[in-house]
Amino acid sequence: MPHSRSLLRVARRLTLNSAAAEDIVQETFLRAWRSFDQFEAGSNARAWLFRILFNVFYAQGRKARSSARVVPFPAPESQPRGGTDFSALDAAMLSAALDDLSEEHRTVILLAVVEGFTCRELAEILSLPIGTVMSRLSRARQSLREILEPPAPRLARAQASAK
Amino acid sequence: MDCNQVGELAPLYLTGELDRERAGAIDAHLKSCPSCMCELESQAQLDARIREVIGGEKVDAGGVEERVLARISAERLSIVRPISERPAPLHRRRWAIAAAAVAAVLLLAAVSYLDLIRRAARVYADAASDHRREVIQQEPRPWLSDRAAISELAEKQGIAPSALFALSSAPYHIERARLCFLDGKIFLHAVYTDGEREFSVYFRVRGDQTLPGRAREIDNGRILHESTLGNQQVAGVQTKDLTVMVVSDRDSDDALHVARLAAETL
Repeated sequence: MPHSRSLLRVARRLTLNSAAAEDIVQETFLRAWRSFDQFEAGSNARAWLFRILFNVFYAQGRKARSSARVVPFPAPESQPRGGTDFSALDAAMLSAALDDLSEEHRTVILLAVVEGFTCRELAEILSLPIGTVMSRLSRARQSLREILEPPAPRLARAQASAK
Repeated sequence: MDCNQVGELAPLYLTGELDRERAGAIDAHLKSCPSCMCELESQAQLDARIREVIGGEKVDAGGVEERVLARISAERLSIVRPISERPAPLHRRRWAIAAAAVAAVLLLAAVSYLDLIRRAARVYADAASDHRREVIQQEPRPWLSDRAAISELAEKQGIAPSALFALSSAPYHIERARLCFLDGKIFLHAVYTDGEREFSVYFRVRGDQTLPGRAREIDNGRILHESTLGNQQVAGVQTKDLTVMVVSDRDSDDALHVARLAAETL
């Protein structure tokens, strides 16, 4: 089926639960099948399927969503900020850092960066104004980088305030 | 453009959605601002690594696909069932399952086809923007204007030069030509003029591809496709050997007129 793997990949990262993700993708395809007559010819089929996926995800409410993570993501070794070389970033670390983001931030990273949708398409899929998409994407990228490259002074302050 | 504006527009810059003017302004800023340059390079590198790691994860959707087909079959059966309270005979159930599978395959084929239409739209959009830049805004390009040189260029692309000259119907004549890329494919771009107005025709050997999209009319048994993009009108037609797209101003009917001419004469 076209796009099934992309849909499942995003659903898994959203729910952090394989069974819940498969249920969401199954429901997405069934809704697409039932409402195919509402699909506007010439519009973007892939974005349409993802829009249904998010409708299903939001409709299922909090219970299907990921619960708060119990284990906090371990802070990596402190690295100099700016110009960081991410090309060889450890896959497991990156994967955990992505899962550690808020649901909103994870969503925009998955759609824009992993699935390659444009900001305009994100706005359509998530029913948000494009300005909101842009600022959310910037903040999401920032959050991810803060997890992956915490500046030493900030980390020190955080530890001090935790005491 | 300052660092804050670059930061605000970075999402559109990284997804390639910015118009040429603003993308150019960012490029200019990056050349003179090592800090923004470094920041955006890091971000692009992180994006690439995310795509590689997360996008490269193995995902097996086989189980979900099977269940979707089974559910569609079940829904089909529930439509058959009310006729009789008893379970449908085995042969009817088999028929319903087969019908559901066919329906599902048709749906998915339709989804893929709509993606094709979108790709076609990209060819039209590329043609309209190429015409806008090279003909209307007259951005400098190395054009061939000599008739023999244009013929040679066409022949190298497998296009009969007679096709180019066949569209030179009075008062228009072919004035210049060059090669260009539309949606990643090479087209021969020819510009025709009557001394005042100009229109563009993009030629390519047809091969196996078909030109999908909304049909406007059928001329000489050939489907004419039409699309309006900004101030441009794009009309496309496919003959036995060629894919031909014509771009003109929206307020003239030149594109359609020439596409009709191509359908009749090529």
